[in-house]
Amino acid sequence: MNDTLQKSYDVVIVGSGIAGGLVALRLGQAKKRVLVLEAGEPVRTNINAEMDRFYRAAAKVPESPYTPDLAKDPATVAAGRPTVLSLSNSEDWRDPSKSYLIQTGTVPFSSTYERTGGGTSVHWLGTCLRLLPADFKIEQYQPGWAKWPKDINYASLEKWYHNVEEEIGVSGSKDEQSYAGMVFSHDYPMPAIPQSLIDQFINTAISGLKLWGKDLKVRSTPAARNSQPFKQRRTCAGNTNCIPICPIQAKYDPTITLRDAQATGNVDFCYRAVACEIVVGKHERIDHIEYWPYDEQGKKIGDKPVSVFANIYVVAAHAIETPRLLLMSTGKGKRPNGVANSSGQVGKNLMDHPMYVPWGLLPQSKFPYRGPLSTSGIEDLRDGDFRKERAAFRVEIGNEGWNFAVGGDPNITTVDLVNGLNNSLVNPSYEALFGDTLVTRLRDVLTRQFRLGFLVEQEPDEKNRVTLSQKHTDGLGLPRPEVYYSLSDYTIKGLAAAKKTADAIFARLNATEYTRIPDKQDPTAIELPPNEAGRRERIRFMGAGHIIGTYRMGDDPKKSVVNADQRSWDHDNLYLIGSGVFPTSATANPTLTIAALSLRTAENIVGSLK
Amino acid sequence: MTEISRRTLIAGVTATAATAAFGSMLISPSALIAQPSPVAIDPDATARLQFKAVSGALTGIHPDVLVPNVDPFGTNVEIFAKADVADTNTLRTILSKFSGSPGSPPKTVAQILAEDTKDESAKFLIRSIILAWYLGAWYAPQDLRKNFYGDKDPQHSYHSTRRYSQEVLIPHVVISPNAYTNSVVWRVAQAHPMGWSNLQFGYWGQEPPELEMFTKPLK
Amino acid sequence: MTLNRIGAKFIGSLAIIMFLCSVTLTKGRAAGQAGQQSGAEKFKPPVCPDLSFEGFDTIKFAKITALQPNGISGLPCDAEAENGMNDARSLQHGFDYYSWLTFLALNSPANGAAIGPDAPTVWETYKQLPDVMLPNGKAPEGWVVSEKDPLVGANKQVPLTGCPDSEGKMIIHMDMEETYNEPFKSGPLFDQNGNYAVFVIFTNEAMFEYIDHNALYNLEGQEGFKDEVDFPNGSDGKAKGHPETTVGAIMIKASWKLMGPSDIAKPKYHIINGLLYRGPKSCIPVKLGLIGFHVGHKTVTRQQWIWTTFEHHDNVPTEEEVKNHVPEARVANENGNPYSFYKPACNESDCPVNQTPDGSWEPDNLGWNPFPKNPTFKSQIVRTGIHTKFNDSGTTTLEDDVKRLNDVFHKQITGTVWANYDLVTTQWPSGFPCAGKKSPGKLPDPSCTPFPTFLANSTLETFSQPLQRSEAGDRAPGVPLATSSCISCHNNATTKPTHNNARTIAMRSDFTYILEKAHSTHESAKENNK
Repeated sequence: MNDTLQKSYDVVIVGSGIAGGLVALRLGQAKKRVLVLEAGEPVRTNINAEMDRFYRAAAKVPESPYTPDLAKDPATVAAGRPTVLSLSNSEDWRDPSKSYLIQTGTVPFSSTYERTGGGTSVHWLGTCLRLLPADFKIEQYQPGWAKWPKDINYASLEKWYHNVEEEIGVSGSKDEQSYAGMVFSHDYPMPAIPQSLIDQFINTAISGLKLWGKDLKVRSTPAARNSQPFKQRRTCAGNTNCIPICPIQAKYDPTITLRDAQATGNVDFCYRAVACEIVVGKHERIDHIEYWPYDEQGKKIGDKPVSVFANIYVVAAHAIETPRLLLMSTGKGKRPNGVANSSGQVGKNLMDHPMYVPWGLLPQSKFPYRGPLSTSGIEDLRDGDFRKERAAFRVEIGNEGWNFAVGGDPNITTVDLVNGLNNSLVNPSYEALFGDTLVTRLRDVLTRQFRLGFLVEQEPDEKNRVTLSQKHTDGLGLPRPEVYYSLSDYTIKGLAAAKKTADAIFARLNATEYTRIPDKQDPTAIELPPNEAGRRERIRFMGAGHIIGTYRMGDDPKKSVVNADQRSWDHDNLYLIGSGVFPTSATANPTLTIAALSLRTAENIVGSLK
Repeated sequence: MTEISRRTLIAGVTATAATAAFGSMLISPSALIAQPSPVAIDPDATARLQFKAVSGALTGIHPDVLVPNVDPFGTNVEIFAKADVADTNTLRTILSKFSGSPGSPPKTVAQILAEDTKDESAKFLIRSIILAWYLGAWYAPQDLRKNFYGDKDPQHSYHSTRRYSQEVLIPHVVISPNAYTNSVVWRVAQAHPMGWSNLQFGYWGQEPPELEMFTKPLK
Repeated sequence: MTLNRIGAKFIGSLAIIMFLCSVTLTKGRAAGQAGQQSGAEKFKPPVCPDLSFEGFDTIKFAKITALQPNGISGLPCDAEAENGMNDARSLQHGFDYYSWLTFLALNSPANGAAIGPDAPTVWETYKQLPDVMLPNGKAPEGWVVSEKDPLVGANKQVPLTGCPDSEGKMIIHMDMEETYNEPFKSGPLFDQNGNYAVFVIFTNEAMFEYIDHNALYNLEGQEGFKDEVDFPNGSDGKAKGHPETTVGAIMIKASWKLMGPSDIAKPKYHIINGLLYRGPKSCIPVKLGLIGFHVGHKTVTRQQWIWTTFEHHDNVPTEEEVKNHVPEARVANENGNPYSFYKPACNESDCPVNQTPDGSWEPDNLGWNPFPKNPTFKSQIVRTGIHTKFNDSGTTTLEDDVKRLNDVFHKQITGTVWANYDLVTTQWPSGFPCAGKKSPGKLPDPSCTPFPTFLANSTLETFSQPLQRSEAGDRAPGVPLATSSCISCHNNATTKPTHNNARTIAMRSDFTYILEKAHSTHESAKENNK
């Protein structure tokens, strides 16, 4: 493929995830010549191989269908990435032979990403929440935080939200979503996904529950999941497998956009191409990008990187690989801080949504393991005056029983009841059952399982950052990302509020809680501030898979990396897109906002190429 | 707890054969011989029939649900093979005790387990077989044994190991995609295997069919 | 036992079924249906041959001989397919035999002659998808039957704007993505001349009448339809509790290859006159040869339908044939490449197997003059199979049995173009009594355990075939849900209610994707997105 590349393109895009894909599509539709460089494997003709890998995976983690191979030492992998498996115990996350990221904090950065055709959103859940008007004006609560640019706010972004919802196909109800000041110029292209039995049960139980002055209710979650046939893709059949892969592509994933971009006839793709240097030329314009190609066995091809030339360059490599590339681009030492980094902010302000996941048994069977992984949430606590004191959060309701919570149910509970163990805590007398007794007992447990997820806003903090490892390299000899991560008091207080909310909901449900209290030494254990009874509780947090903030947008070139158009302050033909541009994390899953901003930037780029 | 022995199963078979044109029945060895055209007779055919019946008793799922008359999947063949490779002597002993033989009446699973006091190989092979049907994955008997007699305190298994810890504690291998998509734990949950649904849009907003529809043959 | 040989003419021995139409003739929006009559077939009970399996040498063609003066099959005969048998191999045989009867019945000449010299077929008189699902959700013209034979249609295609008369030509709607891009946009098929293979979908009268009568031909109608979609069942009167005899709903999908002079010279294909259409004044007359043929037939005991597919013998080699160098041998023996979608002795990097092209495959991008043609890419397709063994009969595979059945039938129709078509296999719902049950919402598995699990036509599900052996290694080549299966895939089909109406919900559409192709009565509406 590399030998059919053109001499020069209108635009070169690094990264084929949702951001890069949508920009490629719009540019291709506008008849611009585009090249997409993707570090990972090509989009295949079908998903046979991915589904086969998934079915055979003993641990059905998000990365299980995708390559590269999970077992290899990251030092030997050409385009490696962090994995959930490397986070699954207290040692591996700090072992460079297991963890692609070199983690230097005492708290693990707990989210992962993919480097493959289609990007990380190949295994996203599909949640398509918009950011709230108040999220863009966080300074009303936190005057010291970085502000979103003047030109980026709910009102200005609303048309782009609508645009992307039409493009990828989002199911939702504007009436249900008109809360916290959100207004909608149009309704969603497809009706909301029906709520699950668990959603309905929770909604009834929390009726009248008011916390921090907010009435709580269960709302369906807008999602890029077909509630009817859409653009030649099937209606959701409730495979309960959105993460890691929808077997029938009823859930949108960016490989669809890549195919559409290819169909324009104006977009070339170069896979297994790891961008390694952005080269600056005259007038601080980007002159070209260099990449290392590698073969199917992961071996470098050739003895020097390949150069590609364009008018405009877009980096859309997600929020750890993008700063990594910028920092690597030192021009053989001439630019020690890398490219696009006059503000010094590249790599800084790394954020996630630390997630608190309580789980338990409902008093009656409400039949989890059915339907999409999540169909509803409680969104009423995403905004309020409390944001002056502590982080806000949203609540995700899980339909998948304890699968996510304990990591591998129904397996763990089943093994407990067959082999006389008690890892799930439902078998305190260590019974080992078979036959009808096993069926009755297991059914009773499985059909009452449920879990919630509290996605907490994280405060931006310069200390939390991505830098380049001085010691550890990948299979191409490039320095691996080094990450320092921590949680601030503001965020921890948000987690405490989440726990309080969880307790209140569990009480209303009359549910029995089974959430494990982590051991003190568990690196993901968080000691909460004393609660109302004066006790200090300990909870675990997990990563939500949302990587945010590392090349933020702003109005001040001294304090931000890109402007409102996602264009570098330093190099006028360089755009950096994706969740790395968010100055704050808010509480919505970031993908819809990533996509809306990408479409907006695409329009800018088309305009500037006329 | 009702046991399904080979005896009751064959009685059921005769009854169904008489009434329905499309009965879901076992193929008895004699029916196999009556097949037209050259057909290789599988030497383990009888053992697998017995295995079907035992598996019904072990799992609590009706054998005709585990191994329907027309079976495009052959999950029982796969699981039988796994068990046979793991411990053929114990497997054959279990089968012969359960099915009975001349001079030896059939035994229930409870009786087989009660008799297995010395090396407990039957006990753990049985558990492997149950888990193979339930989860589509092979948990080797020696691994189950090690875990059963190891430190079972859940606080210890949770400390220093987190989600997916079970994969570290008890290694297991998915038998095949078909074994996974036919695994029965999801039936017990009145759901479907994650990643394999034949259900219709919106089903999750409604109550599922009753448990019996999942664990017994449809009427 | 000797087989009856009737020489060049086919026996034409399948009974006529007459369909007593219970559909009312009045349609609310029927104003303007001047002169149309719906099918009012008089129904004669079908005479089905004995399909029981006692070996391939004992297939009783003698019985078939007696049945058929006019070339239409005794459909449905699925109850005979079972005939008290209950093992997989016998049942599969019964259904495969039944599929051959179906194939011959539908491809019999529309003029009522017996199968023989190539002629326009019965199914080509049915209505194709764009004539049912019209722009602006307009009501389609009513079904017209042939005066000579009520099982044969006399339907007219919706006329084209700015194009010559399409009389006598099948309009190939290249303005519809489904015509040149396989389902779910999985990819195009380019033959060794660089031409697209094209795909068409047809419904029989029973299926059409259900759509028409219930106004399912536009999205608003689907939204307003309060019942469960339930297409008419075929029944031969033999299933328990079902003495009625009806044909039932039949849907067909065919794939065609553009015929070049050398294809036309050797009479190996069923050939028709076609008209490629991509918009006003954009029409090209072509000769088309049948290369693939799907039939779905709904019967009272198979609520998940019976699915069969046929391929032309020269489409592609199988994996085994490639391994055994059969393509090279055929090139030598037949003086050139016989395959439509395969180039023998071409290596994987030049001719990647079962892959879609890089770059755009849109007709507008590929150039429309003289007809859309890919200048650089030709599909290199191999048929990968599953080699399903019947668990209860040792080593015989489903493919072995089908091959023998094909040989038997080919001998009966030798000398006709139809002898060049092979049955791939039949997929049928094997769960009993599941397969006879309505109310799929009450079933743990509404697909009722399709047997065999996977089925693909190399020209119609080219890119969701099982894994190649080289990829699968010692793993099973079929991957659940990812690998093509008629029933599993069609089980996901739903209606498409109008744009975002919270009161309506996409409903199951009884195993057909035809309904979701309907347009809205507001043509500019976004529902008509592609």
